[in-house]
Amino acid sequence: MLEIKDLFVETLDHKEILKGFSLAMKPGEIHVIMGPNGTGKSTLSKVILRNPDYVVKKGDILYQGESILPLSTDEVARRGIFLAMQNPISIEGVSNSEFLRTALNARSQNKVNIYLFMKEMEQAFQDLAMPKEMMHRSINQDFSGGERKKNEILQMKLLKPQLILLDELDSGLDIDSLKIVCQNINDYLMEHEEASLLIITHYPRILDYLHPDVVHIMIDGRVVKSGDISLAYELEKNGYHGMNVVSEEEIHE
Amino acid sequence: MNKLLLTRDGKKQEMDSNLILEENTVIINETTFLFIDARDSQENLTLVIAPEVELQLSILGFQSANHFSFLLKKDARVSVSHFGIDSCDSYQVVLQEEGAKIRYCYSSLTRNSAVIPIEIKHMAQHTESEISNHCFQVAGDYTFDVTGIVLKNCAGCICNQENQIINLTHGKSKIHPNLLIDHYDVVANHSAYVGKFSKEVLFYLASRGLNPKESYVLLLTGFLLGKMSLSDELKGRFENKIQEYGGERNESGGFSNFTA
Ligand SMILES: Nc1ncnc2c1ncn2[C@@H]1O[C@H](COP(=O)(O)OP(=O)(O)OP(=O)(O)O)[C@@H](O)[C@H]1O
Ligand SMILES: [Mg+2]
Repeated sequence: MLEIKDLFVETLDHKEILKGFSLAMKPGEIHVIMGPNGTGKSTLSKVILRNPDYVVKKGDILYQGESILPLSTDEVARRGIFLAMQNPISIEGVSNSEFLRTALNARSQNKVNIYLFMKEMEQAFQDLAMPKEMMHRSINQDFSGGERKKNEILQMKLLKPQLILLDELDSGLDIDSLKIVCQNINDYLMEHEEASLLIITHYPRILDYLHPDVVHIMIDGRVVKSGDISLAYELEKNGYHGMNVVSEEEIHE
Repeated sequence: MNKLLLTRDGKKQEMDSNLILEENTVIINETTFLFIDARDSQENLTLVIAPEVELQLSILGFQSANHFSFLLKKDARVSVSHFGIDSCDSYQVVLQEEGAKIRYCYSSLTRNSAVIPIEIKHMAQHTESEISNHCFQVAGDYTFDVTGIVLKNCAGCICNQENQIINLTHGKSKIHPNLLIDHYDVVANHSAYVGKFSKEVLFYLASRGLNPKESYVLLLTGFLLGKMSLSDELKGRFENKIQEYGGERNESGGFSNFTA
């Protein structure tokens, strides 16, 4: 599904962020990345989505066996990769429904049937316990932090990706909302067996709902340790300093 | 709906009898909708809105250079949605009598250089103006010169203006907001923004699969028409104009008319 090979990435002004990052995910797998602030997790997610602010200096990203480095962001998205962002921005004047309809039209040959689209969207609002009137509001405009996160998952449900990246989905969601959102993700994974999930998080709480196959610890731009879910709990208990994964001075906080 | 067609060869009307067109003046005596379709015209048109009358006006200016003057009588209410394509229409509003209110949304999509003078004059108490001027500038130099005036003894007025120019190239864009307030008990605000659509916004839309043209059309439509109150028919028509203006997608992933 996704294979990242020895990836080195820097910003346009040559700040090195990813330094030999590698990871391999099979279809249907759930992986987790945990790591200190500023270690490059969000950067990694944006690089996969081919954000032009970052330059790949070395290595490769293969998706379904093909390099996606030559692709643009919209091409990657149309091939089925979806990023639920850490800080979803708001866009004045563009309504949620208008935006989603354009996004759906962009990925199919035929125009979406308005009636079916409305029905599906209404269902998605209901599934996520979001008020329906939000579909007519500008994208994330005056939405609370948690509402923005829910809106990301709403988009995921409608756009039907194969690879889903969740960048700190759990931050901003209250206890009940996190449960609802994770329920929606699990339902989605049940319905789409091949779909894979890459979760970026600081806390194992979300892993009570979304059960990962592999947990990776990322420090200073690369994976330093991988294991099963017990690694996440160990990390919660001991912190990065107590993990015995790298020397003290390599840990950035 | 009442319609007024302005062309290079003059005016043509399809209006109900409650609107009177005399020379360069339209007198509006009854609450109504009006659509002014201005193509290639250079008219100087005055609209007089009678007391307590409500006017919903939509204007489409295409390669036009008209000047619209509005004279609002007591408690008249006017809402204007004015969209210009490669046009340099300008407007002036006089809130002449107590209680007159206007909401004016002016949007311009252009590749021509222009300086657009806009003036709002409050001449009576409790008059209100809420105006927003947006321009998407594909090329050339563009300036909004916006003046709000509140005369002495005009208590309880609201005079707000919001101006934005998004430019695609390195052309000069300027906003000159002026508020000349001669009374203390007045609410007056202005805001101005000159810049581009942000990288973050474009990345967000692209990450959902929209190509650059689709993103621009969506953002442009929101930016230019988002604040307007339009009938479905006119909204569709204005949206089509924006799409046409964007042109075909070209090989580099951009589109022929917006060479970003
Ligand atoms: N465009 C950029 N220009 C300059 N520096 C950047 C840029 N993007 C990211 N960085 C820097 O790269 C480092 C990694 O940032 P990133 O957002 O990927 O961290 P993160 O692991 O997601 O952290 P957090 O857990 O706080 O979300 C940070 O030091 C950040 O300031
Ligand atoms: Mg982050």
